[in-house]
Amino acid sequence: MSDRRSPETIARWATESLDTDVLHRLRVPLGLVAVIVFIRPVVSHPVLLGYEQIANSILIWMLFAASFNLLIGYTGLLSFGHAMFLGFGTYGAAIGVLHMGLPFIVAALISVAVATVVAHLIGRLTVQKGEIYFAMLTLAFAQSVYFIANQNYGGITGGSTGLSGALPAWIESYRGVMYVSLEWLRFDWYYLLAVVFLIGMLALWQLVRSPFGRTLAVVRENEELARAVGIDTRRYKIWSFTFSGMFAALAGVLLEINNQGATLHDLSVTTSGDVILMTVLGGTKYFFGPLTGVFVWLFSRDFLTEFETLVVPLSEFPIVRVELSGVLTYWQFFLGLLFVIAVLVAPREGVWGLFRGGVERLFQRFGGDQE
Amino acid sequence: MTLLEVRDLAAGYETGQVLFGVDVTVERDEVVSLLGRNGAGKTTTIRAIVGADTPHVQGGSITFDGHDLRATRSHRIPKLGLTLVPEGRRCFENMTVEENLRLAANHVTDPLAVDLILDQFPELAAMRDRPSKNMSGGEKQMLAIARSLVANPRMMLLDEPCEGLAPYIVRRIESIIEEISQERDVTVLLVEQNVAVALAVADRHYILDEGRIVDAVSTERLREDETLRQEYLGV
Repeated sequence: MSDRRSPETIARWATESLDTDVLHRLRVPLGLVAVIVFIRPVVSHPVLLGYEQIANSILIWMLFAASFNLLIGYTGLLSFGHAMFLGFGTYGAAIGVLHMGLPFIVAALISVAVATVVAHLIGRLTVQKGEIYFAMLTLAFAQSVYFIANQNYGGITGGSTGLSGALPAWIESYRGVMYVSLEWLRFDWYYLLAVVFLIGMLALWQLVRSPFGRTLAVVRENEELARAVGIDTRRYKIWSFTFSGMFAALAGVLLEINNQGATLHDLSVTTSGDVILMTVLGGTKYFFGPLTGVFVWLFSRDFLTEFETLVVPLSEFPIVRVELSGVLTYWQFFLGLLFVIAVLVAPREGVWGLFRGGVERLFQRFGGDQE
Repeated sequence: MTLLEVRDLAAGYETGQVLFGVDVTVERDEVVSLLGRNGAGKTTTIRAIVGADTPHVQGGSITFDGHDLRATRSHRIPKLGLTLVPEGRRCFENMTVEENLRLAANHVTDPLAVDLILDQFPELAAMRDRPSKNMSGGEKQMLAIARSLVANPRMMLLDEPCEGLAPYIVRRIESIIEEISQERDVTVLLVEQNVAVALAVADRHYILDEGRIVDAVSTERLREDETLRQEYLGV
């Protein structure tokens, strides 16, 4: 240890780190910008998925999964009902526009605020109940919200058909592509979505690296010791749950625009389950873990279901043709397999952790030779 | 003046009752030890005092400086001036030495300066930026004591601080406990299995056996009375 800290080494660090230091400190914002810049051209490349709209749902789900990871990854709380808060976003915005005649922005803000308050109240009731009870209670709350939406009391929630057509006045849809259309400006809805995504993700990032977020990690690591040094662990968990619900509702508002309405599926237990699987697959230990999980999940799902014929070596020179569509429609099986492998090999690191580890080993190998 | 008073404490786990009426009184500026064999109820007593999730306290009273600890939520207890050096996982492993200390300082009303504490623990000052998971057992124990001290407590509870440590580190921990008591005027309740450590640092000793206090003795008596040690402590 001491020889590594020799004066020469420190002097070398000082000169070397000037340029890399800024990059290192801003790696998360830069990474997020890279996600929104590259994800659309990459997925829409003809070799991959070939259409752009999937990038919209990938970003929305990334925000949703990142909000969920505040709970599972940073606080150590496993909620089985996170779809409830996504649903507050979608239904809140749709109800506000369709039944109350509110401007979309107002409806969206109100629905996020309501979700935040509800998350806080549910958090107060549940966070201290122990892992299993917490999971079951969140599931129960989510199921009752689902039930209420399905019952369609007073025709407000639209029952099993959901609510459709609640779009902001400044969004227009043309041949399945949505545009933000202002008097003097018209651009693809993706860009607005990307900006809101970026703001939401940066806010989450600030949250997890603030003293609040650092204390959450302490609570997760050793709750009893945290209490012994004077941390009110219950209060921290409640606020973690509150913020998590708030960002999930923000993702819900975006989803409402993207789907042009609210569907019962947004509230369902499958949605809650999917976000758990995606987050764990990507890796709960890292900020980019859930983002990776969402990307791998949604991309593979669409890629595998679309994939029909494997031609080797190139489609111009077909030597071997394998019909795979029959097998690959069972995409859940392959994703399930990947999930099992990821969880067995790297339970908290996930796919993103494995990828990072691989890159680091490469750097050590080739970077080490140069020195 | 009495600082900590435990009266007729009964407590237990789901598997059954462990403490059947424990009485412990600690005066200001004393160093008191709580001795007993494995399973006598030492850790249970200490955990009941700081209000851990388990054991469940079934009866009796715990008073610290006039505050009823049974009615106090456990995270408030350090703010009253009573801190714990727990057994087992003692530090926040993913945090550095300095972060461990700062965290503890941030959650009490009147902490000591982190640098002041590091001056007192030169071993820790030398590794202030190292994550505590890369430290030895003795270093972790020192960090746990330092973290407990940074909260500027009036009383410190130490749960088997010398368990599993090499003899020369045990000497160091003993001298730290003496420093804390004499220079910082912190009252100490020490839970120990190791009679030698208790003899070295404590003024009075409670002997716990099968969930009951069977004797309260001075250091001289404990040193001389071999049958007492044989019967309750097995040494």
